[in-house]
Amino acid sequence: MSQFSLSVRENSPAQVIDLNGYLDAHTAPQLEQAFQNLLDEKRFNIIVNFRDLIYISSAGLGVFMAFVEDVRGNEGDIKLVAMSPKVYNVFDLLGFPMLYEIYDEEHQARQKFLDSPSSSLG
Amino acid sequence: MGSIIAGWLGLLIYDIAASGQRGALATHPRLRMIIPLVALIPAALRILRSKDLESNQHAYRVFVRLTVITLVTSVVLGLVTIIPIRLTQLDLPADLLSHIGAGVAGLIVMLGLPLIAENMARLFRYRNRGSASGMSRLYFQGLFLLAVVAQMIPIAQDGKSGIVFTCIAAGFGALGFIMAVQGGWILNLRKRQKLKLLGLAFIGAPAAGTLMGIALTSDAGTGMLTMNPALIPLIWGLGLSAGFVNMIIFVTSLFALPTADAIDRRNIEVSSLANFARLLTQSLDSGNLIDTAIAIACEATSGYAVWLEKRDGEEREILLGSSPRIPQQVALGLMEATVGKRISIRSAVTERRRVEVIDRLTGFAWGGQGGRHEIRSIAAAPMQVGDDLRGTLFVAKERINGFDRDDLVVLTALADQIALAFQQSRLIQQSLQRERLEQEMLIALDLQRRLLPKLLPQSPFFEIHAESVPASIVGGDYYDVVTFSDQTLGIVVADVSGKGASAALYMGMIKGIIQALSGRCSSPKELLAETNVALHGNLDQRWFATMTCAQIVDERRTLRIARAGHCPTLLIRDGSGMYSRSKGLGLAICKPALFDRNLEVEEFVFSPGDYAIFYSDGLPEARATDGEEYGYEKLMETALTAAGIGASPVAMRDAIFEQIDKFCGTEPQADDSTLVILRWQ
Repeated sequence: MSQFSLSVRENSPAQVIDLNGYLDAHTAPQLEQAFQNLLDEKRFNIIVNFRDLIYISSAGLGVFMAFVEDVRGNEGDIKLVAMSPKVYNVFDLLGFPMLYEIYDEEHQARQKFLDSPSSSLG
Repeated sequence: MGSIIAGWLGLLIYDIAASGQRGALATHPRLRMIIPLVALIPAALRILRSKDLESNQHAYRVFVRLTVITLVTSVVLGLVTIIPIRLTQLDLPADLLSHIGAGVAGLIVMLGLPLIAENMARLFRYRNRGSASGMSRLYFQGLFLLAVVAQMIPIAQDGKSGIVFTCIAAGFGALGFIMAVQGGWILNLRKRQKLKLLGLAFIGAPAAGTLMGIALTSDAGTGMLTMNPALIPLIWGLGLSAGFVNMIIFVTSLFALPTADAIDRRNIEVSSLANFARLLTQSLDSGNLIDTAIAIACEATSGYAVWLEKRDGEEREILLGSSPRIPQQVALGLMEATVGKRISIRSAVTERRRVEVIDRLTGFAWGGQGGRHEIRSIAAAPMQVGDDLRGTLFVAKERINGFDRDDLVVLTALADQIALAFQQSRLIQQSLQRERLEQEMLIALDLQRRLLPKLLPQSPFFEIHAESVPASIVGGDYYDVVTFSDQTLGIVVADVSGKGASAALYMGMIKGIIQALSGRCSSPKELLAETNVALHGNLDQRWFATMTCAQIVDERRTLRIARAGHCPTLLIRDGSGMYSRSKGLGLAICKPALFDRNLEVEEFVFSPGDYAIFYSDGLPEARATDGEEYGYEKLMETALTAAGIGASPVAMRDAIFEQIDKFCGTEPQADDSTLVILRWQ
């Protein structure tokens, strides 16, 4: 059941992490590693694309919380895009829309990075 | 033994006392005859009941004892012959000194013979396992019967029957030859023991002969036998048998010597097999295991020093055991010694996966406390489990060409066996570790159960039922009852992120915080805000919790609900359902200011028969085999149906869990399910 994969690609000026499958306690470390790699490369404009993500658990949500302060402290941001209604509901219940910018389309997030390279909330 | 000495001393005193009187033997012949039997019968019984031998080694020890006793008896008897003895015409002792001499000789023989007989009986029986053991018993029974008969009839006083009887006794002795043939147990002894047997038998046969010679020909012996005819068949029978036994053992050990080396090796191999098994049972303690493996390898290959190079992935570890016989530097040097064309023996084994040998080495010497040592040859075998190379076993010897074909076969087998033992050791460690963890999880589960309230508030106006079902052993769901500063009651349902022991710990912390803060707070909003202050920034950044807090403002009908990121509360009022989804962020997610700004409180008034249902995300997110989630809509439908028939909180719980179970089928659930149902009445 815990099938999960991710890939990282560039969509200048941001790095995009594409998520696929089930993000839970078992698979969250993969996402954590991906974030860590981007931070190590000093790439702080990050878009996470949820298009192919089916499920996210609380451990998955925790990953975003772990890195957002670091990223924003470096004048970057983590923006979330293309969530399915179900996944959005999970974020919404927790109040994440008040902490993260969430967009329907990836290009909207990219545009936001182009407009204001250092946007942050919270 | 005591009875023999007592019997014999009694006889001696009687004889001495009687020696003054003429014709004493004629006066009390019956009494004179019976006294030796006191000494003889216990000895006979002991012999006939002697225990079976247990092993070849045991037989070896018994033979050694037999020979030593024969030797001692004949030497001591020889010393007695120094006493000057005078005999009458009837070969009876003529004076007091002669009586004493004959008596002492009799005592010595009577002490020695039963011991000889007992050890011999055991040897006969050991060799004659099964049916033949009856024969050996018969042999000794016959011998003792003869002794009794001889004692009862004063044969010696009648020359002709004396000769006949002596012939029968000698014939019996010759039968000992039949009993003594074959000595299969000798073959399996060690070479050193065979050599010792050869020497002992070489002495033992003449000793038995000497014993017979002294007893039958010396004056003291003649006097002794005349006084105690019972000893005649015993001397003949046991003396001859002992002689035969010694001769046969001499010959058998002599013939066994040429094959002794081969049999020694075979024995080592057999014991190696047993040791292999020991190796596997020792896997519990890895330190001990290494020492055992090294000791066994040393023994099996007659190596001087043994060590292992263990591989774990890319890691290499040299294991010399707890008392190395070779300095590590020398061992390291030996591993780099080249075999064939410029390849070290260590690499050769790793690459070719087979045993490698260097027959002739120079320059690997060291001096230590035990003197100077030099390794002249070395062999190494791969330690493999399946195709997986786990390390290399090295054996070094102090002589050139130290390894023959058999050594290498044993070495190869042993190396694999050690690899297997290591593997097993690791598995056992892992399973112990797992068991410990499971134990800790059970403790965590117990802790978690204690965190949940034992008693729920009771009121004439409402009824509450609460239940939490963890998905794994320990879950992250939690519910509680609190009392606010104005003494109103509150219900708290929370879900901490994470699972297992850490979840239980966090839960304990949250319970502590809530119970400590609730008495100072007057509303759900205040309690959640204060809780967030306590939690924020203190924990792992990834960690958070969601919580719903409901205050029973007016016991009669009013609830005040605040939601910190938790699942919306399901309310059923007047037969229609709704979710109370007030604004609110999860706990420990953001700074207090942002949390407070976004936290809303809602207030609801209920009528009798209305419900407030608090739950965790395990319910709406319960998944069927095809991955579909149960969802909020179905949850509400189920609750409405149950509410329609006025279900009690317990019946409501049953209805909800039953529907979810039906929906999910056999699919195991990933999340905990918690349900707190409040019904107004």
